[in-house]
Amino acid sequence: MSDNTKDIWDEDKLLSRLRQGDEEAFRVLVRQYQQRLFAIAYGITLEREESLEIVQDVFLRVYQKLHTFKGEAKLSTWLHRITVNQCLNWQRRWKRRFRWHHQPLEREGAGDAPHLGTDAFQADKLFQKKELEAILWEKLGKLPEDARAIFVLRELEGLSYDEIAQTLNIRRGTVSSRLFYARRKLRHLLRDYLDEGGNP
Amino acid sequence: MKKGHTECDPILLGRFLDQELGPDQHARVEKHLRYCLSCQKAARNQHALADLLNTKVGKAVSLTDFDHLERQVLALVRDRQAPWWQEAVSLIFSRKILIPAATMAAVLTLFFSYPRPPAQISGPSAIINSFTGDISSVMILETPRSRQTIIWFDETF
Repeated sequence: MSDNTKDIWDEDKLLSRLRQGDEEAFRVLVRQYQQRLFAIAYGITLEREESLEIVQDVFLRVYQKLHTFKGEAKLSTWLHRITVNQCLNWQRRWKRRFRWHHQPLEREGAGDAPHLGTDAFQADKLFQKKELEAILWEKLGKLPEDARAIFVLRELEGLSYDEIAQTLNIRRGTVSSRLFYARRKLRHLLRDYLDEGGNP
Repeated sequence: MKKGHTECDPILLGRFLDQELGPDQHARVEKHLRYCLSCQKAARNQHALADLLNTKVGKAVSLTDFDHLERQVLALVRDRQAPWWQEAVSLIFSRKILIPAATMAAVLTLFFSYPRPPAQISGPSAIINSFTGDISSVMILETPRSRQTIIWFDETF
C-alpha cells in the first residue's frame, strides 16, 4: 500500500466509511493491517497457517463488531487486541484438544544447531543464523503465552509500554515485568547460542 | 560491575533500551552503559533477540501471499453480507425485538385466558310491576355481591 493511499484514508475517514459498510474502505483496512497482524499472530502462535486463519478471523470479527468500536482507543490498538485474543484463544483450544504443549513444525533440525567454538559453528555464519532463528522459535514456544505476546508486541510492532498495556488491558508495570521476564528467560534458554559479544 | 560506579540494574537497562525511562534515569543508565561491559553485553543480546525475531517473522511475511489473503477476507465478508429481506428477518428475530414481543404475547395470553368471574349485574334486567296469570313458583336468590330475582312460572294460559 502506498503512502499516498494511507494519506487519503486517514483513520477517521476510514472508520466513517467502514461504518457505512463501504467495501473499498474494508479493502483498505485489510491492506493496511494484514501484514502487521499476521506478524503478531505468527510471533505468538509460531504457526504460519494458523496465523493466516487468525488474521482472517480478526478481519471478520472487525467487520461484525465495528459498531461496538467506540473510538476511545486507536483503531490499531483495537486490532492488536483482537489479534492477541484470537491467538491466545487458539492456543488454549489447541492445548485442550491435544493435551500437550504444541511444538511448532519450524523447529526441524533445531536440536542439531552448532555450538559456539565448534568447526560447524565457524563454517557458515548464514547457516548459523538460520539455525539460531529455528532455535529461537523453539525457545519462544517455552515462554508463557502472555509474556510472549508482550515480547512480540514490543519487538515486532515497537509498541510502547503504555500502548501494550492498553492493548492487553493490563498495567504498565505488568508489561515491564513480563517483558523483563520474557527476555531474561530467552537469554537463559539461548545462552549457548548467543556469543559473548551478544551477536548471534 | 566496577567499584565506584552505579549498580547494574537489568530492569532499568531493559527500559532504557526500550526508551521508556525519564530523562534523569535515562542519562544515568546511559552513563553506566559506557563503561559496564556486562550491561553492554546484555544490551547487545537484547538487540540480537529482537533482530532474530524480526528476521524470522520477516521471512514468513515475505513468503506469504497477502493478495490471496485479502481476496479471501473480502470473499468471506461478502458471504456475510445478507440480502435486505434476510436482514429484516434477522431484525425481527433478533433478541432485541423477539424477547419483548414474546413477553408481551405471554402477558396477553395470560390476561385473556385467566378465568374471571362473570360480569356483575349492576341492577335488575327488568322490573315487572304487575303480572296476571297462574304462577306456579317464585324463587328469590340472593348472592353476596348481587341480588337476583328469578321468577319461574307455569305457562298454562
